[in-house]
Amino acid sequence: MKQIKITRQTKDKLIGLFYLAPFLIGICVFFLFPVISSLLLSFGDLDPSKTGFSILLEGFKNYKKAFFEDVVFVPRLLEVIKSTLINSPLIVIFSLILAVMLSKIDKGKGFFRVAFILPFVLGTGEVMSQLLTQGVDEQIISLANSSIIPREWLLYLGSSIVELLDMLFSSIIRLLWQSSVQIILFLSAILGISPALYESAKIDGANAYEIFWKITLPMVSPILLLNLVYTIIASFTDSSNKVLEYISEQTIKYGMHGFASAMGWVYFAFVLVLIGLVILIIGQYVRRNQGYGR
Amino acid sequence: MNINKLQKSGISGHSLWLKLAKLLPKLLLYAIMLGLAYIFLYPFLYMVITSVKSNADLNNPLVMWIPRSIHISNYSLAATIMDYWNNLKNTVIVTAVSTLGQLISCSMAGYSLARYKSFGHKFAFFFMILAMLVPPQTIIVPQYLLYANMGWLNSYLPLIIPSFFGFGLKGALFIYIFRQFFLSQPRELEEAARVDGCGFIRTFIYIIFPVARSIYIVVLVLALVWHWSDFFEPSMYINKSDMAMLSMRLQAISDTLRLFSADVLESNYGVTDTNTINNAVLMAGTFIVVLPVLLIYSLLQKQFIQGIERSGLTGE
Repeated sequence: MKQIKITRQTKDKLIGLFYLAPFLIGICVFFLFPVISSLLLSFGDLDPSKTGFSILLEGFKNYKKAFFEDVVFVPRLLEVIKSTLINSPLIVIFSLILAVMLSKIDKGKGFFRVAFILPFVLGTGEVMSQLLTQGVDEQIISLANSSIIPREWLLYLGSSIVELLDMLFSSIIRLLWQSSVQIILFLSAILGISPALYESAKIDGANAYEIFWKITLPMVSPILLLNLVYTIIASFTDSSNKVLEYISEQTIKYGMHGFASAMGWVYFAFVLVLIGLVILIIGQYVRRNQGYGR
Repeated sequence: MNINKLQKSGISGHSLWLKLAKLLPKLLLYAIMLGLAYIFLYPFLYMVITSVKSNADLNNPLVMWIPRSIHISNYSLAATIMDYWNNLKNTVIVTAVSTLGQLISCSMAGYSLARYKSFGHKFAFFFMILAMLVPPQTIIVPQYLLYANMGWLNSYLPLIIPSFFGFGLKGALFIYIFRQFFLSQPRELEEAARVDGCGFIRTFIYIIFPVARSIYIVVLVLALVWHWSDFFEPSMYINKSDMAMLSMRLQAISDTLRLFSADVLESNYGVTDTNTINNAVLMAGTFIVVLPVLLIYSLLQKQFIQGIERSGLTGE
């Protein structure tokens, strides 16, 4: 009896290995060398006396430079971390609300699903940055403001409140434009929930509020975690990100490969800690709902 | 338009007020969604409108939505500067092949990570997180040297081959997406297939793949858009202009328009009307670059819904 169990486990392990094999090969061939040498590079620099790739180790010089000598890196790092910490949860909450609303629509769902993905298709290319430099977000804010609350009313409130409202609208609109993918991911998860669950909840007398917290949210929790991770990564690896801009400027323009790698790894360490915390905390919630590793 | 339809159906009924009261939440929902759709559509509308504007309309703040004259010539100019058809072919080939590679390799790895505690499970999970988080700018120098040693520079190999091994553009993220999806799926179908004596490769093709169709479409769309508009890696590895990708050209177009003087434009591209060289041309160029992706998405969109409805996800 026991022997049969062991062989089945080993077989499972081999099957798993079969599926994993391409990725494992990929790690060894395409990933290990760049990662290790970039890590080494951060403790030194390319040897200028030799051609090709040989590293001159110099200890923690680059790291000291990043933290204590360079005046640009630390403020930018803090700024990026701050905006990511504020924006990511907001984006995920917005997109969950939108996906729930979208899942309730049946007429014209095709139109809405295409409309909501558009900022993603445009946003990864040149378009969105061009649009933002041309002040499109400001145009739409003034439109939104005057159609929801007439300008005359706002004037009574004083200019500081108007400014605050403008800022609020502008950041909400920018966040909405970043939530396309998350909406679609949530939507696919919500549509995947069995209607039988909802029906039995209704028979038991649950209201819409209870159904959301007791059925929809737990059932989409793996996608919730995925969306949070995705949002944080999207914001940290965005090419318009200030820290990454500085890093690639140092490498490509000035050839400071060692210094750039050191900054890259410091940056990476912060991202890793943040994502690790998110996966630990939210992951606990997901596991409670899904029976992970059954 | 949807609201109108709903209202008509309400009015034609017998107990008009009762129906209206029932419809009210729906109407409210549609109103909110249309307002939100406007916000999401705004950048696209702006791009399309701007792309046909003349120089005079561009500088006139009164002309917002309706241009007074439509300049289709913006498009032909943009297409000429970008060498559109040749670069479109390059972009289609690279995008199609590397997306296919990522769909196969990433779904396999994600499935394995979700279902099996195999050999190398922890190792692979660690490196998946690492690959997801390491900014590409950090490892680009050694990566470039690696591909240079392999003799892969000025070919599409650095963009294509890693995709078949779970890497390429955001490959690790796709693995993570597949893993999370398979974690959220029940195992009953697979166990049933196993009890019925279905081998694991057949199980994957006939049971897993149909069930996971919606997530395949999601990853397909993500991969298509990212490969299509990526210019960081292509511009590192490719510096022959006839092998360029559309995204690289788009980046170049604004520089070209700013830097080239009128006579250079005339001798190189046969363009005489320098008035048209402006933002409208840039927007026209952008539009023809994103158009194929938009078309593919709107086609897949139907598949996406049907995929979910057919896959048995919605239950019996």
